[in-house]
Amino acid sequence: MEDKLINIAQGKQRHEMHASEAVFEQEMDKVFGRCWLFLTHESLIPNFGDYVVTRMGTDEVIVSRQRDGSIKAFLNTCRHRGAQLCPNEAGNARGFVCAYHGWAYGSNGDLQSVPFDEQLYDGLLDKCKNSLHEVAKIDSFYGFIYGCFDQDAPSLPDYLGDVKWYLEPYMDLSGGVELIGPPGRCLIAANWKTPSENFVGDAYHVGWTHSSALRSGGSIFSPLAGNSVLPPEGAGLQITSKHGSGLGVLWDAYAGVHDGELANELMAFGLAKEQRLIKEIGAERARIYRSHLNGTIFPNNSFLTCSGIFKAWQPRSANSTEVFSWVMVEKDMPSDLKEAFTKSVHRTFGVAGYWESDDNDNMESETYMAKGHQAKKKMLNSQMGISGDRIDSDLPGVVGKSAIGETSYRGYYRFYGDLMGSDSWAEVSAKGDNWQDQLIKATV
Amino acid sequence: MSEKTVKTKEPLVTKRAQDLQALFVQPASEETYHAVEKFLYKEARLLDSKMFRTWLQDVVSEDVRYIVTSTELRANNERRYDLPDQVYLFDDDYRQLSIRVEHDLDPQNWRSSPQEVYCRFVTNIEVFETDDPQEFTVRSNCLLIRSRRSYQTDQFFCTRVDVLRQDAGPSGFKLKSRTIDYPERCVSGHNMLVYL
Ligand code: FES
Ligand SMILES: [Fe+2]
Repeated sequence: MEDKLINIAQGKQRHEMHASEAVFEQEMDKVFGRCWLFLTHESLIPNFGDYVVTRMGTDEVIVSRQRDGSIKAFLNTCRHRGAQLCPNEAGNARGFVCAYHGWAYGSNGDLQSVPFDEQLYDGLLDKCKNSLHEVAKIDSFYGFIYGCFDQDAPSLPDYLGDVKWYLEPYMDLSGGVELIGPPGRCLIAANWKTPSENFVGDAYHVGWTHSSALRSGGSIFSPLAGNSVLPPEGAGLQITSKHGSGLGVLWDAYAGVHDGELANELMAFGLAKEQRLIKEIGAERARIYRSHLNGTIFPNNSFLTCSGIFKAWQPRSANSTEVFSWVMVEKDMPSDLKEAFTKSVHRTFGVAGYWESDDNDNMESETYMAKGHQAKKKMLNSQMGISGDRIDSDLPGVVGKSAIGETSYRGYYRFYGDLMGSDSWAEVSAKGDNWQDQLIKATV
Repeated sequence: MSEKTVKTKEPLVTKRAQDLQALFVQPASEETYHAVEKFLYKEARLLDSKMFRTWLQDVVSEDVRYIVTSTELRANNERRYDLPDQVYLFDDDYRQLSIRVEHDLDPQNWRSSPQEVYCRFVTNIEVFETDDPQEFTVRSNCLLIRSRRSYQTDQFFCTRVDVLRQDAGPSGFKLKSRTIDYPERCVSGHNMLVYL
């Protein structure tokens, strides 16, 4: 058995990572305890007192809009005996009262009142020392709010690194996007990394896994059904970044997975905006706006721009993941188009999404097979396009040889391996100093 | 946070359930009741047998609207947070249901081979008249158990509110609309690629 979980030099990973509870426990510490994790979008908590309850790894957190417009997040755990503080998914509240004994906290996390405080605690309860446990760092990019438990983590812009340049045209320069909630939620019997790695860079599976969805649905990707053609050379890009986030680009594929009249309307909307953006931001980035991006913000936050799919794969255990599915949509889309789009996103990639179910089947089987005593010791292969990865002066990140490749798998697991093998962010950063070389020099 | 809140309004979800009662007023005749019962059992049989194309043809009306929502969990006394609390897991017309059916039956739908097996239990059937003598509101509960591969059994359960229209075809009625607010917020059954 190869000794390492992750073999960067050859683009391989030990299958055990998809089912081992021991690996999972370590991940909660070294991955979810350290990385920037998606929390919510500003459009879902616009006003003072608005909150959502979401997950960071196996922890529940309350994310709450403060009086000054800033955002804080806290463990959803009462400081007294540890009961769940807020059982709701979203709302507006001036504070949170625990159902067990009635300790009451403000939306800023301060412990404000304790029933019969004076009679029962003889002045020995210091409320200032019993505020809710606060998430160390909160920041946002283009309205997407992320939190991080580790004070030593790099800033969110640094953490996102090279993928920002690709996301900016659609998420920001377009006039901005919003998330439409509430999310669909379901539980799949898959390790959280299996969907994360698929979204980060698997254009390879589309024609085969989704053969039936492509044939029945009639999207712009339909010619790929049954692997009857390979997208032509130059159809897109694949890139990865220092901290594992990565994405694929399919040029000009704005209507994405949508079908019928909706696809035509979307194409027209995207084209018209691209024409306008060419004047404002130049042809190159305007084209990225209208191109279909699949990606994952490391570790567990995936998206398909243009198709409008936005996901958090929340780990429950090594073999169980809760899927949260939102709709991501350009703010200035006309409201009737937005509504049809929203429903089509859930129809394709929601809880009852017929594309999504094709994918989940693979993710569940990768996880199921990883429990095999012999199978788990074997190495998985992400070598497509290895030795073809390069630096490109016009394109940020490490860029793969073609749109169909596994460059962003390799980048994702390179960083994952660094995290799992390090005791601090300083060590992680040192290991990643020559991250580009590590990927470019990788070979079979 | 010492202020005591006094509940003055029903929570939104309670209000929705109560508003629905307006549809359940005038029970239909015994004869209609039995015809509807037969229709629902036939539908369950076709779906359990994966005869999806026959289901579309004989049971589903071409102007159908098939809706399954999932409702976000909010506090009973929530007043100020007014973003939508429902997500449409399904909001399909006939064409969209046909896409799902063809997706499932496609020879390259890998997840459908070997086949999943279904068993539906339809109960608590109530049939009510509407303003239109040809149409009836039908409330029923459905428990669907799905067995998949050798290691997976899933349960789906819900209350369905249907509008059926009398029809000269082989089933006696056609399904004009089905509306389900799915009770389980986080769907434990992997996906909802089933017709409830
Ligand atoms: S556990 Fe929350 S008040 Fe006691
Ligand atoms: Fe997929």
